[in-house]
Amino acid sequence: MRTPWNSFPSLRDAINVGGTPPPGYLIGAEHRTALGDLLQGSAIASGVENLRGRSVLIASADQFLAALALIEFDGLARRMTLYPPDLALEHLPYVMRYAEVDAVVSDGSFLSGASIGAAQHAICTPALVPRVHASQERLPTEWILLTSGTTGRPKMVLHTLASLAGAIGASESHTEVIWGTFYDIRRYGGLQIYLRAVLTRSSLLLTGPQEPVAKFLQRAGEAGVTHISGTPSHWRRALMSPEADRIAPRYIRLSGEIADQAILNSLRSFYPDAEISHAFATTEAGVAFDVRDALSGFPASVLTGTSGVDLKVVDATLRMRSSRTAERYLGENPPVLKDPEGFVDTGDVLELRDGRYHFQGRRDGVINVGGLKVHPEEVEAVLNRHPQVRLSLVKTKKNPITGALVVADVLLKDPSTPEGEHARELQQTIKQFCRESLAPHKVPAAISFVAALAISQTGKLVRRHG
Amino acid sequence: MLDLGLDSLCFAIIVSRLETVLGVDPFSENDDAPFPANLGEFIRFYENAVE
Repeated sequence: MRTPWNSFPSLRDAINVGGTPPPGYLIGAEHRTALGDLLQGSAIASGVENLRGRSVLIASADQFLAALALIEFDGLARRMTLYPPDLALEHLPYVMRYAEVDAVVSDGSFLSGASIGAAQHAICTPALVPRVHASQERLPTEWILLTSGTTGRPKMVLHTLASLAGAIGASESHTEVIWGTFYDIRRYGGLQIYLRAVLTRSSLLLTGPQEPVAKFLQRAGEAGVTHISGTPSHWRRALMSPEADRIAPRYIRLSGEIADQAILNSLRSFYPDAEISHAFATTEAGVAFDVRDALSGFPASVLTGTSGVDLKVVDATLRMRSSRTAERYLGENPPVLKDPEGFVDTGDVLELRDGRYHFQGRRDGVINVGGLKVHPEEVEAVLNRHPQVRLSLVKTKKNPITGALVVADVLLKDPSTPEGEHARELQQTIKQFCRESLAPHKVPAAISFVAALAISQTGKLVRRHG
Repeated sequence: MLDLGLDSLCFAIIVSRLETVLGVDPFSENDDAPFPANLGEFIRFYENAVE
């Protein structure tokens, strides 16, 4: 579905609309750039025209530079791949190969030591240089977002500006909107906020690399942020900071995780003047809907009453079809993204209680730790490599801070189950073994030694999901 | 709380371990309880829950 906000040929055209300078700024921890300055100046010192038509990978420690690069290359590159800051560089060759990357745009240090083969390397900097030549020709740039995959390799999801911006509606605000996001813009949830700001020519405040939440809240207060977004885990962190009262937002958005009633109530109580909305979206399916009644879950009427989105529940999971869904996956043996009718299976299990659907977790057992996905199979593969481990089962444990934690049942090769100090030592050893090859949120927070793990008749571990 | 240098994940693990040791999770027991913003509030949060 075409809307005023997803009909622009490129981000640059959105900024340049109307012939008046855009009022907004991109504001990072160290730098700020007026959107209007990007029309006359360029953040790519070596020039962008020589990268026209290329498949560009954008990789930087500071997302502020990625925010500049997206405006530089949308409509100019054939394809843009956003490399998330927490994705290990060991996946870079795979991503570059399957996204057919022939140019890399970085901050000059993020990729230090990593090989980019024959790809051209351009540096993005906040110090703009005069734009030498600006062609009016626009390419329909493909946007590649990376999301967590079963084997540790990222899944590569192909979107367009139109699909990404499909859920963005006209602002009803008559006063200046200043966006802020706890969520990194290289992830779908953060990117939605970036696009809301840039397409409406508004300001956007971004977190710096490893910026403490207290400092970000201070900056958000000083910048006068009016609209701010994060995962429920981001918001729990914010509310546990003495700086939480630095901001006075008019609009608070939660996405990326299940919003429970406790966080909705806490936000309502702490920011009584803010409109609070929790959105359901996935990288593949796009934004499904926003819930604005301050209650967790969503009313059953949403299934039939969401404009522009077809929703249905099949086998207790939510399926979605709309112009906001991604086109397809890239990568080795890419799975099919949509069924023959165009529906994307979100894999999110729902339960209907008293006319309201509640999310029960994932059918495939994916664990959501503070908005970051963990595939149990990836963690089990690491655990099973430990010389003392015969088999393991990774599960989710509900947690009030990050929504969930990863825990593991481990069957040891030695049939005598260790106890006491010996058990604690071995648990620590196995956790350390996991830390060496897994991101911190994937390392089991607790390991239990079990006498047996159930195996089904087909020889697979018995899992209980959802 | 976050000035202690703990990120959300560390904090989540502490809450999980306290639940194992003390048998209570005050965060999940009351949807309307405010989040503790400093160590003193955090300790009182647990003392109240254990009582």
